[in-house]
Amino acid sequence: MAIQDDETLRMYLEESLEHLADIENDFLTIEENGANINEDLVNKVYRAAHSIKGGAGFMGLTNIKDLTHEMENILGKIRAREMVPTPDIVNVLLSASDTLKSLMKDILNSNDIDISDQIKALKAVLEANGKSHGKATAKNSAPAKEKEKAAKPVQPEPAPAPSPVVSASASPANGQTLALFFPDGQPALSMDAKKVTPYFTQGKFIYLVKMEVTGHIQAKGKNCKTVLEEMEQTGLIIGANFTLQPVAELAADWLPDVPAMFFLFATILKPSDINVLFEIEDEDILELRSDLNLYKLNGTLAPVSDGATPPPAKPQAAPKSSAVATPKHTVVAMPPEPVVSPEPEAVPTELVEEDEEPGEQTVSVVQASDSGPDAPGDKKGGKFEHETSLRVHVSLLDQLMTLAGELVLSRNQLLQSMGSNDKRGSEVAGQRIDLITSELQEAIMLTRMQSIGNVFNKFPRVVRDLARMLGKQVELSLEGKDVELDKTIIEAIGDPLTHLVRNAVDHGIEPTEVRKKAGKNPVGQIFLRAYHEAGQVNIEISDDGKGLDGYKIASKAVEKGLITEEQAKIMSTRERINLIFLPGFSTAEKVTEVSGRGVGMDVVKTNLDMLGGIIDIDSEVGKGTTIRIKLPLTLAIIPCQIVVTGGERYAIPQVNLEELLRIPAAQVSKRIERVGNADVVRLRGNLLPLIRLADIIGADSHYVDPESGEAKNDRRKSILDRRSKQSPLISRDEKGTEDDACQPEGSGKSHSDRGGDRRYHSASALNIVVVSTGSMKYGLVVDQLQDSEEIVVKPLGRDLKKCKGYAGATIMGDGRVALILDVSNLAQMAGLSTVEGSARAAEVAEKERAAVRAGRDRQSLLLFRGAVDEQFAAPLNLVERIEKINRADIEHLGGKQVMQYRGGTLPLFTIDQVASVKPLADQENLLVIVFVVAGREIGLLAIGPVDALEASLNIDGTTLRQTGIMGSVIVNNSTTQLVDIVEIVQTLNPEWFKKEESKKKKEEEGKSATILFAEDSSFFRSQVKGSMVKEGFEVLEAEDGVIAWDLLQQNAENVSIVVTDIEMPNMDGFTLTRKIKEHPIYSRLPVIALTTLAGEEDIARGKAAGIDDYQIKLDRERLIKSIHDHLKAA
Amino acid sequence: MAKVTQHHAIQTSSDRKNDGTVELATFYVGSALCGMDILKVQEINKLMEMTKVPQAPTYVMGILNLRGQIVTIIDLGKKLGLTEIEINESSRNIIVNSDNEYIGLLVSRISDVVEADWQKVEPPPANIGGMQGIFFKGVFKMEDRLIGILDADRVLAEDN
Repeated sequence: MAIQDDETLRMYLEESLEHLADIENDFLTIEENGANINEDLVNKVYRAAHSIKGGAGFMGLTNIKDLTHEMENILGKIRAREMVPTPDIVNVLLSASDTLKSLMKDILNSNDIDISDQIKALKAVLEANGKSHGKATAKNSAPAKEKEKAAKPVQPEPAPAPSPVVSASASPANGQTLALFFPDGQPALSMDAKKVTPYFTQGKFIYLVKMEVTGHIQAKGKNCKTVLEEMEQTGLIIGANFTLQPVAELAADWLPDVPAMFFLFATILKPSDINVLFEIEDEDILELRSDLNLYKLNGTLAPVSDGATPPPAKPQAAPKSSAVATPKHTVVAMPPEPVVSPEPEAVPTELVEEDEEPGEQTVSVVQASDSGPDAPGDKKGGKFEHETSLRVHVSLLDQLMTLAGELVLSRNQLLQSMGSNDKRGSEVAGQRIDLITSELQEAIMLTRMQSIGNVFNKFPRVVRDLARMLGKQVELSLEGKDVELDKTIIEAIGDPLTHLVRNAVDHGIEPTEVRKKAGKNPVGQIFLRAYHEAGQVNIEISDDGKGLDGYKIASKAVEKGLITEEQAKIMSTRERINLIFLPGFSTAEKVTEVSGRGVGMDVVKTNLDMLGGIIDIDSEVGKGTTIRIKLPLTLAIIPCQIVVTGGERYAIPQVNLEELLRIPAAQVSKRIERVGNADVVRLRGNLLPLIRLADIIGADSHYVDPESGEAKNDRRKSILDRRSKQSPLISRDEKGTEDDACQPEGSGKSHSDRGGDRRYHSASALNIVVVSTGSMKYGLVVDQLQDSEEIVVKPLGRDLKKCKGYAGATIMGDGRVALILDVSNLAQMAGLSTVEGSARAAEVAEKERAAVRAGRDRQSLLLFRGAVDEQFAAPLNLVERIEKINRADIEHLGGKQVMQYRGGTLPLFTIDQVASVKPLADQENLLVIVFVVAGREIGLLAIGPVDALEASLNIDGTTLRQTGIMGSVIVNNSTTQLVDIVEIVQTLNPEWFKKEESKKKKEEEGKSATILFAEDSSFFRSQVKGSMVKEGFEVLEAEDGVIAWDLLQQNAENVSIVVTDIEMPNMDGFTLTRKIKEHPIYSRLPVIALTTLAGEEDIARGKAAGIDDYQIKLDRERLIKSIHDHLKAA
Repeated sequence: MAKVTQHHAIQTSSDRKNDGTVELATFYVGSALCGMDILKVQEINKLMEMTKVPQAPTYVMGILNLRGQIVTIIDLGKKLGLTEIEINESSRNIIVNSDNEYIGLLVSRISDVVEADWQKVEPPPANIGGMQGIFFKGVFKMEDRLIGILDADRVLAEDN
């Protein structure tokens, strides 16, 4: 092995890895484009392979060289359009690039690794193609030689180095690559046609110029450099047959490495003027017109060269390889492998041929001119692996230098003023140092920032390979690649993200057939997005796959013993879904190679926790899953809340901080509850488990004695305990030891508070830091709250690695050290699982929820009065409008009261017309409450005050029941009668309903449908049942979902529709519906949900569960109609 | 590449040959006189403003800020199985660099720098004044006293 020296090797390695970084995605794009080849891209990859090969040859890395050589051959064919990059071919290329990467990793031993399989695979691709292609081209070869431009064999078989035999194939008559010849058959150069055509549209002329170095330049006393410079001033050299370097960099005595230079030159000079520039024979200049034919300067078509027997191409290996490989080629003893070995004897005699790899010219040119920006430009294509070196823009370094300089100056200034006791001077210097430090910090942070594209870029490959393996069709979209994150985070986020993306492909996206069946686009979509928000970076991974079923997850978790059934029952969907983060959880029914080893998501979460990140899942069954990750921009400096416990300061990262809670002494007993062994605090209707920091980490808790102001050890066993010895809760032994001075017996306040909670002093308030770690939220009780500060994270020594409660340490303004708390580990240490605290806490939470649920079973009522002292209520959602009218507006016609209303006549009624209630109050100003009944508007006369309120419907359906009155309810301490509008109208205008009924009767004749009706409130049950029975239905009543389910099973044949309440004990309407819809036999049953308040959210949720229709409980007309509609449909 | 750097690392950290002389920084742990290769010692200070670390192993006194670096201070007495070091006027932290990390060893008192001839260093007995012999590289005898030469890396290794 001829490894020159470390430095060269290192440079080669860095460069090669940079080349390789992008190669993967380029291959994927090439694959995607298929036959529609993007030459620039192929060229880019080709160049990359070529550079790697060149360097490898030079370094003696034969394996790498051989591998890249084969890759290059294939790429050459693709570029020449002799090969369509099918997924299979790209597969081979991809795995070759993988091998290449692994070779690079262990470059010193790379020659000892067996790569023959890879080489074989690559060669097989070439051979397979060679055969089919040879056949294809043999037929077309005759017409192909018609014209210079079209007939050139763009890519003769790129002879694999060891075999001199080249098939006779050639001449892909696609004309995409231009091979240009002079009339004498001298091959000039070949070009990618696409590189040329744009110039035509820019109004430029393109000339093929031949300049002999001796005859045209030196003989006239010019030198090559000046010629090139002149050309550059008037136009653009598109192509040349030698290595073209930036002209300005050429030495004055530079000579091209060919005796005759051929240029393809784009300029605005007209054919008549062009030779002014060159001063050579007109024959040596040909114009290339947009028809891609060459014309002489006088406008005649240049004679077509026979092309069949052109002089053999000049081997151009030397310039080519030197252009591509490192410049060191020229100085090293070991000659570069003839990189592209043009073997004249291998060139077929039939047809035209020319230099081995016609594209090489282009490559060289581009390579040369690119080499400058190439390196820094590609720096973002960094590796996924941990890097030990980092490229930083020079301007940033300069900025750092300047800042460092300023810092030194300010320090000197500070020292000076301190030495001379110049207080003002030190202040000024201190301020300067403050400023500079901040700037310095920012600048240094910037050097560590890298774009997240580094991570994202590897996913197209991951997704592609995985999708192929699983036989799925998946499309990945990336957004926000430019979002920058700290290097450490970029490195650490890779694995968790990969896992999530793999999960999305493996578990999220369904197989193609399933998707088709579900009416989805057969191609699954995965969307990866990064964006900044609120000083954090958000990463979203969403798929449109099958989504996560919270119930399944919960039952799995129960099955695995991760949570109890009771816990599962009371969880929200979101909580259920987030269960997959519990350690030891995996939902994959089959363990696949890809994922589903049961160590998935919890590892992801742990990794993200370590980064200070937060992960959250949102999913809808059948629609897809979205996973959101929030990450801090950097780990090195983080804003923190400083707290004090046991006299020591601790820092809590702001990302984990939800809010700060200070519970005044007087409220402690009210808001803190002790359930089992855990304290919980009531916070906006939720119970938050509390952890005393001092308890977990085993520090002494201190409190400030309200009287003396001294810090004392807090000896309370629980938060609820009182320090005073008068406390009935305090344990006996503590009583004796309690310091009497703490709260002197005689103090006036003490007396006044006797019997109540005597935590009157502000210092006795409870300080709680509410923290969250993703799915878990808890309160950390600390002694004191201090400021929030930006702190610098410093690692802890190895002796402290086992203390899980700390994420690191930081140095405070006074030079002392404070520990940074790891809130998720603290929770674990305290035994809090992600599922709310202890079982007892769950119980209490259930109670809270029950209250909320009771709250949901509320009805919006419109309150009004008939007589001044008689209050009525009607369901608000039946009310169309309320109008204020004058008594004079009422007209009495035909024994009925009506009024003109919106251009029509509105029938009016009063409750006392039907029910025996007090007559309408005799006042001028009346209200008309407009209802719509049986499709007509009708106005109820009433008086104010009107009010709308939400009342929990504890309706008494018997005491005050009469025609027109459903029952009564107590509202604001007065008995309020619920008006049954429909009944009233029915009594007053029975004819309105006749048509409806007769129609229905006809439908129903012969079969009286049975309705299964589940409703927990007996009032509603009887109300709704009543109206159903009136319609002629049979009704099976159930008090909750469980009973309904049983009834359904007993009466499966009879039940033809299910009407259910949503909020019910034991089993709610959603669950019932889901059970019905999942059952093979019952799934056809229509399900109508009844609710008091149908919010959008509920409706969506219900639809997802399979609910066919939503109806409002007291809107009986619509309900009945809906029942009919659904029965008809069924 | 990695290989090469590893090599360097091994070379630099490999023990300097136990021949010739070595300068020992000597100090007392309780009443026992110990020494340590002075090149291991980064500095000696008397910073005692430590931050306690609840839940840390008992031999960890706390952590302190040494010019921006967090240094774990270890009670050498406890670590070696003796009684804990009493913090007073004479107690000092010896900051050593072990495994690319600064660690402070709290000792009772600092003594002289002694030049020791490796030839005269005897292998450690199993027990040196109640301390385990494995923590020592050897024992150096002077006319009037014995110096136990501490193997700092051994003392600070994680597994004990």
